[in-house]
Amino acid sequence: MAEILGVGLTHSPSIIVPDELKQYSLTRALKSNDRIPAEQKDPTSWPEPMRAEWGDDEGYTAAKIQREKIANGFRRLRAEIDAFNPDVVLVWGDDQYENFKEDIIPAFCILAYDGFECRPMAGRDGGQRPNIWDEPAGKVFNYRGHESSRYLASALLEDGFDIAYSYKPLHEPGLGHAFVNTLLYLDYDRKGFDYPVIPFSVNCYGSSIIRNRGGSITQQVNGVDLPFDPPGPSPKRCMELGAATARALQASPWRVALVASSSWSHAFLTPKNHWLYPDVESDLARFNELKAGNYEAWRNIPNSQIEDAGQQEMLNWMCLAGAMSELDRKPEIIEFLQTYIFNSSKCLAVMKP
Amino acid sequence: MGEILGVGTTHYPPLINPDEDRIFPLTRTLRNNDKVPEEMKLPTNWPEPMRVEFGEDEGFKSAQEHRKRLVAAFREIRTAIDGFQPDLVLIWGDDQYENFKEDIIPAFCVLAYDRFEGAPFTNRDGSYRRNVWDEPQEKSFIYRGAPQAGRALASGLINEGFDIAYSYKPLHEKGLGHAFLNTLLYLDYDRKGFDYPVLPIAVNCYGSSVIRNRGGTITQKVNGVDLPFDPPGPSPKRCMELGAATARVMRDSPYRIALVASSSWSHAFLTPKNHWLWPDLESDHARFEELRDGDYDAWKRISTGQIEDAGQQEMLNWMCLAGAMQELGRKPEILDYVETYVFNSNKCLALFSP
Repeated sequence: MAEILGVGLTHSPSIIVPDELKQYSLTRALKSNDRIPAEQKDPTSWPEPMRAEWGDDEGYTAAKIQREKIANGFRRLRAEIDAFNPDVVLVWGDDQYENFKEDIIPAFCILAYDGFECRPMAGRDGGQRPNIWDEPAGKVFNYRGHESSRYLASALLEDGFDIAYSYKPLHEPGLGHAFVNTLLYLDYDRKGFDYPVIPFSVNCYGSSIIRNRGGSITQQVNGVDLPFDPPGPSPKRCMELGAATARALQASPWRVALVASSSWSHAFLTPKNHWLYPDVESDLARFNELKAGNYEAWRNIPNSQIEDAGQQEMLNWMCLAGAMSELDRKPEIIEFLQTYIFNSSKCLAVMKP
Repeated sequence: MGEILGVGTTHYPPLINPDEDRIFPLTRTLRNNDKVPEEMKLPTNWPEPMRVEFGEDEGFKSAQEHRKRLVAAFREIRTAIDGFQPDLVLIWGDDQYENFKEDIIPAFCVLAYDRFEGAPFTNRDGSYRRNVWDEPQEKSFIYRGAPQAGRALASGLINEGFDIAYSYKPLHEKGLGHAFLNTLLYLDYDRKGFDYPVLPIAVNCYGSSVIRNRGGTITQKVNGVDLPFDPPGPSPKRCMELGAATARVMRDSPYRIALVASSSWSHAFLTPKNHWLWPDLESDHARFEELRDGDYDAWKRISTGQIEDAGQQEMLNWMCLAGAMQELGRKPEILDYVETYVFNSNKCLALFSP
């Protein structure tokens, strides 16, 4: 008998890295982003709460506090998932120029692989990526796929969604970071994660997916900036897709956890804040709407507003919001962590049957 | 202000080969398709008009007549395009397990490349493909792309709620899939050159069998077991909506554009009920009458199941064009409608002039 559990969470990469290494995107931005005006790099010019968070240890104390809240939040989400005991876990996540590149950018793609073999602890150079679990570079994480992925792709295509699907990797051998980080964090205590998964890729980075390669720096050819790419799907379209997903799965034989994976406004996507801190105000407005179950407020947000607020990755949450709106579910907020220095605000929530 | 010319045509591959080589899909099916019942391989069991078309020469004379009609229509289409002087030529065509494979099957994809280079006379095994132009194996055809118009179209369609994919460079197929390349070769049948920028839009016509049958007729097996069905392609209705949105986006653009649908209609090798030997002539004729009368709504009601039963999978390309022409209130001028039992598919050639 079909049943659906809704889950919202983050795949913030810095959770993998030990806090004492201080590898935050802010420290990286201060070091290597030439577009940041020199005076803005000086903490005295930062907003007061940002200076307080930074403290006199480059945010180390704040990082430990953030980690504890996130780890505990993930433990609670895992307990909810275990209690729900899904047949399959669907994850909406962004592809940040990982599996999809110049040879095809789909708006949406269901990764209907048989299985996913991931090596998230291998750095680009093949060496060990520093990680809090101290797991070696060669450590393999295997996840199972599920037959419901083909069923869902068929149902969505029949419902007028022009989604793509795939049976095997294109450029990214295992899973992109949005998906694998989600699975790593849902198993923060390493007891294993044996639920089959359906990764559902969303083109969150839209007009800069190739131009900026899913990052902050505009690529150039012969000294000329690459042009803007076509946009990603709109919040409205993502919500329609989420609603259709909920309808299709409710008509299925499976119990499904629908997971939206992403932080909200990203500092490195927010030019108006000099790429230093996220759009804290806009995130708070979205949070109040979510908490109130006011999904309709999200539906009419234009892509331009999303890009202005650096909330590109929230399109993953828009898919979930559409599903929850369809099912008339209100969220139970587990954590809402606002930050100036750790790149992005993070929301952890569960929407129970 | 954009202006639009509509064109319906075919990319029927055997037109490349000299007729005397008799490389017809039917002769291949008779030789290689084990699913065809033995008794149905005997012409005496074929429909009477099929026997007549096959004649005493395995269809050679009929093939020459078939070619003559198609080439005459291609020349008319080319004249219309030259008269229209488009800034670019958009082509809806199917990808038959060429550029898109197991690592991604998009419903639709805008190929917004800078340029396309194709070598149609080199077979997959590296051998030479004899051709009616007697052009050498290494002959390369280079076409200009329309990357800016392609980005604009993809943007316009995404903003209208179409989840369209786009690409800037080839994935598996180095140049252009046969639906696009053959179209361009035939629109330049007299080899005077084809310099209009090209914007190919791939449509997943083969739907539930694109990987299962690799865009052909033979079901692939793994460890002796048939591959399962794939998710469906977009429905006729969705293709027509996409076509209509394309017409709206292009009408509001600065471009003069030719919108070309490229495919034959029912395919013998996709029609099990006719033992993969001849196409669904009745169904095609019904579609033809609807088209001729401008009854586009009749097409919108066709289900994917009906399309697959009639072997009309590739007509989804025409559905895109039909949606665009309905949006513009255009009726077709039929240049020819060529029915056949022997040459795999019925072919329609039509213009929809402003």
